[in-house]
Amino acid sequence: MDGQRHWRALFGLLGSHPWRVAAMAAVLVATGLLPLVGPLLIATFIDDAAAGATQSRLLFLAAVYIGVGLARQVMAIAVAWTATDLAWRSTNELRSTLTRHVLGLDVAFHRSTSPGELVSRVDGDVTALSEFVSNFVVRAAAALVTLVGLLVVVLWRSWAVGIGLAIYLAIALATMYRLRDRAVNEATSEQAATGRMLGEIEERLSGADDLRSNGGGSHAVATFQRASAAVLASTLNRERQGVVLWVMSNVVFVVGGLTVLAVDAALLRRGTITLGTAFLLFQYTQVLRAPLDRLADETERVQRAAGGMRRTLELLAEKPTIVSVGSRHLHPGPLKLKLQSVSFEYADEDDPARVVDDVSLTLGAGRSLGVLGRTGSGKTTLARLLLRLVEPTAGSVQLGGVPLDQIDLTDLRARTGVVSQDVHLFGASIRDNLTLFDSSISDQRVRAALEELDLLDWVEAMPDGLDTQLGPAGTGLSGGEGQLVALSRLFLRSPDFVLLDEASSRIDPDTEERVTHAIDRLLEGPTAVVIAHRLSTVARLDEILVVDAGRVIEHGPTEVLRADPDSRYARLLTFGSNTVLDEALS
Amino acid sequence: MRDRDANARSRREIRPFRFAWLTGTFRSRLWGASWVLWGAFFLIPLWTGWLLKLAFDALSSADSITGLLVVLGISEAIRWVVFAGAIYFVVRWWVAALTLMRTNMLMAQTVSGGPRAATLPDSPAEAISRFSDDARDTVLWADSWLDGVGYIAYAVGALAIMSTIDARAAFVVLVPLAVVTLITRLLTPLLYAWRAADREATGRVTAFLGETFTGMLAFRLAGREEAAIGRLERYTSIRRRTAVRDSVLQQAIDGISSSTADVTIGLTLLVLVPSVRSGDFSIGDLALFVAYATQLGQLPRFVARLITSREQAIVSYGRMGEMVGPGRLSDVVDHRSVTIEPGEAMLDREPDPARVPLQRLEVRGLTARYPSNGEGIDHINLAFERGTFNVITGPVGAGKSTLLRALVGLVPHDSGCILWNGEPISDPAAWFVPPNAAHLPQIPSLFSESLADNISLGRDPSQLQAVLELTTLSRDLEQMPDGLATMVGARGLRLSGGQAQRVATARSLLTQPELLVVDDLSSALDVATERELWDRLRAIGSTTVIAVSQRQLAIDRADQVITMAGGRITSVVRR
Repeated sequence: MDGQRHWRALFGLLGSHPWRVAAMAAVLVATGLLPLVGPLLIATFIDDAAAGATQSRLLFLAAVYIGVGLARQVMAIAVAWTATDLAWRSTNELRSTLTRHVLGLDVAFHRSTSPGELVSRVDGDVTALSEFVSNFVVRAAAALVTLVGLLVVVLWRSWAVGIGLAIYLAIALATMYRLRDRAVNEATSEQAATGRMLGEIEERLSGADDLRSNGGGSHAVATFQRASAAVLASTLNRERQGVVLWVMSNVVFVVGGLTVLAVDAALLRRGTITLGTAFLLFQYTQVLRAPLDRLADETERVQRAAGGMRRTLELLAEKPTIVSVGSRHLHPGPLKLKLQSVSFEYADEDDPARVVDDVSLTLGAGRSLGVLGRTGSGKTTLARLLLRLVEPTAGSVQLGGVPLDQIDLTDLRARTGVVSQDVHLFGASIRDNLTLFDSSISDQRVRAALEELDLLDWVEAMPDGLDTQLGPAGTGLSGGEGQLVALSRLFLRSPDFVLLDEASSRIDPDTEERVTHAIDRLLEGPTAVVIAHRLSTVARLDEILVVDAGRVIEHGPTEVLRADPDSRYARLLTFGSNTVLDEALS
Repeated sequence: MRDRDANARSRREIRPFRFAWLTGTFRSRLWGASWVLWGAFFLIPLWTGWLLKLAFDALSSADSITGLLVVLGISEAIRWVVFAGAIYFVVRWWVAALTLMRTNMLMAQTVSGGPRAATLPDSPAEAISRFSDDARDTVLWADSWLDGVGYIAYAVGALAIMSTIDARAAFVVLVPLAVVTLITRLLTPLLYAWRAADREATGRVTAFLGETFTGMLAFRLAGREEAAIGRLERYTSIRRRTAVRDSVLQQAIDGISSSTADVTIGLTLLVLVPSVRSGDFSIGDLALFVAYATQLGQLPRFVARLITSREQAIVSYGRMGEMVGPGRLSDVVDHRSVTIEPGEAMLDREPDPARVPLQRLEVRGLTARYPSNGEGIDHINLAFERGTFNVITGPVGAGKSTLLRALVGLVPHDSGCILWNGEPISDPAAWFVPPNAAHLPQIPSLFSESLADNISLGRDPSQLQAVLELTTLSRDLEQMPDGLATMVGARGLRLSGGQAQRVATARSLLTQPELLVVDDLSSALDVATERELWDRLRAIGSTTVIAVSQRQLAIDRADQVITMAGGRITSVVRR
């Protein structure tokens, strides 16, 4: 059954901590057996009292009863400790695995899934699992121990009742188990609805400024409530299943209890059992009731965990199209870039228009290329192809003479560097923002990189220098300053192939001069592709490529194109450096 | 230190009982029905316990118990029906209450100015835990009274019945309950502190994950995924420790309570030894005592649950209070329209304020600084005439965006004033909204709904066609099979950067605002589109535009060019 796969995967998580599992199991056995001692003591108390035992004997039984009660408390704490620790240790590993997996998924996946939803899946769903292990699994295991112990004691007191009870419980538990599995589906859809609703809230909060300044607040609330209506519907569905489960468990115990009372009456009349045993048998039908009731209370947790596990496995089943099948390594030094009839079209869009259409070009090692084109001409997609963020639908991209998909992905990422359109800053220290949380990079290296960009003064003027904390998503820095951080990131890595995607578009003229100087120095070494709107940016580059509608319409050395009055580039220059590209291109 | 003071202050502001009451009475009919049904659910066992006593007494005197067993069975069956009904009402109340608090928080975060506007205390991803966990914990607190009161009624009834059988034994039952309740009470402040630490650790994990997924490309392209995982693991292992600590204490409190049942029964046996030996106390009485005492043993658990859920709720109310603004904590449970039941109509959008045609906009001595780094704008004096095109230019960090944001009220100003036709505007955030003004930020936000909704934000769509033309979006729409109904995906990521910018532009133009405030379009619009836009806007003529731009084409068209540096104006050129 499909459901079993989830549970197997869940318990597989625990496998890497055998000693902790063993310790927890030992504590659980003790916890499971202690509840059986009490009714035995009372039964003895009743029979002994009827037989006229001494006062001290009865007082002793009562005192032992209290001692057992206290021991249960100590064991309960031990269980909480071992179980919670184990649950969080193993699910933390799962969180890391999932995060690693999600970070490796395609750009297309990230486009269609909001970060808020991903957080809810990587942390929310997994926390449901961890709570499930530390609460439900532990209780269920203890209840199982109690059940086995109970059958042993009952068989000893009256084998006929014992066998009857065993058969009855087997049927009852099997029924409940089957019902529980059905409830899992409802939990999954409730979690999905909740995740969507929370994801939408996160999105609204991220865009709160836009909602405020455009008077969109009440619209956002209305949209949110529509999502909440879906949550209510799915919660009601799930609760319906929960009620059925609870009632079933009660039917089991009430019918069981009434049956035992009837059997008690018959056996007493025949004289085969004592009054104490009659009481014991009835109490034992109720011993399991409290733990199983609590388990039924926890069905929400089971359902959430099952839903969580299902969604986790779904997430893990999500396969990136970009995978590191290649094992070839790049030669040291600047890398030659070669595109052979490269085409790309988005598979999920109904519009079959090619975004990149049969592009071929060669860029020598260490050369720099400026790419010009209007918005929507395919520049960004071209950049994604060069970085292997998407795979070409036809043709091949080669770097250093090796097709991208044959290069070891780690090697590829280590040797290429990007400043993309969107600079992502983090609510962390400036240092973490520059090193991207890589603590192996020394402050010395960070400072050296900043020095080269003339940014060291800027950073040291901040309240805590490199330790200065940025707000969420890097608030505290302007758009241009963010670009400077992104450039510093690049400087920290001395890559052999560099891609600048409209890197200077949000930087004002003053800062741009500094950046330009720094970029020039950076471009001295590696092969570089620069995508920009501005003519001034590309004037200093070795070659120029003009694209339109995904096709190359001009490519050549900058000097040659500049000298050729018929070239589009030369025509663009006559319009002045701030002229519209489109007119000259059309 | 200051943090702690602020915490203490906001804690005093939290009135958990009043808030629970308001949460309950938000859906008073559902809430009332739940009270009645939960009450019945808890009181029925008093009756079945008595039947059990009769059954055991009958057993010991070898009488027939068949009739009793039938009555017992029927009583239990009634309890099942009551349970199902209680759940049905509680769930509907529960989700409505959650939605109410979420609505209040979301409203405060997205409302345009006014006394109820608030700013986000941390990242949006971190705020999600306030919408999910904290909202849940406070509803749980209100919910615990439903069971709590039913249970207390049971306890009173049980003690009364027991004392008619043996007053001493009934009294003994109270002793462990009192002790345990006291211990629980002593441990709860600790639980409060540990719970808060755990929440904080959780917040750090979710915030880090949120930012990691948002900045996924930065990690991927730099090959630094493992560095991100390393940091995540540091945060998750801190959270593991806080969670284990929290759960051990919680279990200590819970467990003390459940072992009370055992201690209670043991003490009862101790006290009853003489009367059992003399035969005054029957086996039926014993069965009743065991049944009642087992249930009563849960009393400290219920009390503890009330106490701990109160403590949790206080933490959570505090965190949700941060979402609705300082000193406005009770806004969290303010009753508002919530329409989530099947068949209920969607909430109506609030109408836009009335249009006040702009003749002249003036800014006098406007000063706004970010408390974090002291940067901002200083004594800005400017004037803008109706229908003019004004460009603000200057280097990075000059304060251009801050000026625009302070003008429309997205950043509070420390001093100075803004005059609309000579009238001072006391709350810019409330004033500078469509149709008076619209703000188009550098990086606009789109939402996962349809293209049409993204533009109209729920407004009457009759003007849509006009702005689609104006922003050249109609060309893009031809490529989309679903047209205006196209879902733009999370954060609008299914659109290209230029398309997203054009959608946001269309959004800001929809009401033909008197004033359009634009923050640097160049990052996403190419020169041609930007120029086309300016020309079309100029052609309309009635809209006053204030735009931050570095582009010559904008400066060429400007009636007024304002240059800024270091948060001040360095030159104003009028043409």
